[in-house]
Amino acid sequence: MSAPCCWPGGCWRRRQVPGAYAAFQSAAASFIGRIVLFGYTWALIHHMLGGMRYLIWDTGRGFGADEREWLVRANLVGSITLTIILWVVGGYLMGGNAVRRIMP
Amino acid sequence: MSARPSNMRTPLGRVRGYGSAKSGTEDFIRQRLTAIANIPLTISAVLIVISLIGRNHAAVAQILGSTPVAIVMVLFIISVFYHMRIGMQVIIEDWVHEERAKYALLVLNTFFTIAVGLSSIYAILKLSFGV
Repeated sequence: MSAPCCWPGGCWRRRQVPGAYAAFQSAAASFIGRIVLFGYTWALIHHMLGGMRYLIWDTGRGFGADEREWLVRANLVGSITLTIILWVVGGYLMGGNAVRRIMP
Repeated sequence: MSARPSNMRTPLGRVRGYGSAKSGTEDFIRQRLTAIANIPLTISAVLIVISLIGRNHAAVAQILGSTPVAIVMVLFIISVFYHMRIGMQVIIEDWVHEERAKYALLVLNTFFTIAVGLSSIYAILKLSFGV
């Protein structure tokens, strides 16, 4: 059994092995792999919307108590909604049967 | 001196022009510049990654190596890694107070960013140039 690709030297040893991509694909396309990728894109989008909140604050707006509460809720609801939209609609736009590939 | 000061800073503070860190305005501006660039780049990169799921090696290499996708991914890597380095630096400066540990972590932060960022760009360019 050779070292996983994430180990030092792993990529060099396995570079030309025909099954290397298949090993990556089986991990990335597995249920846990999809959960990790979905969670990662959610974290990215949540960070992006949270950062846009800071850009709003940079203009001097949105500092009221109600506004801050509203922005935090919009951040959470927006990131979940936008992530799902990106996966569903984006999956369709980017490759026809992508939704079936993502959710078998 | 005007009779009514327009802000709460003392004249001495205004003359000195810097905070206690002596620098940081550049990082503040670049953090926001890369933040704005990251908005379209992140959405594009997420769509690209979603489009790669379940495809075989040849298809993934072709998509990632195609000119528009490769350019978007390289721009995404540059902007995100620059943004990441500044953000991590701010966290280290805010929370690590022991001088030696702080500077060691700041050096490692920059090394990590450049090493992983350039490796990522190298991988994209290698696919794109078809070597």
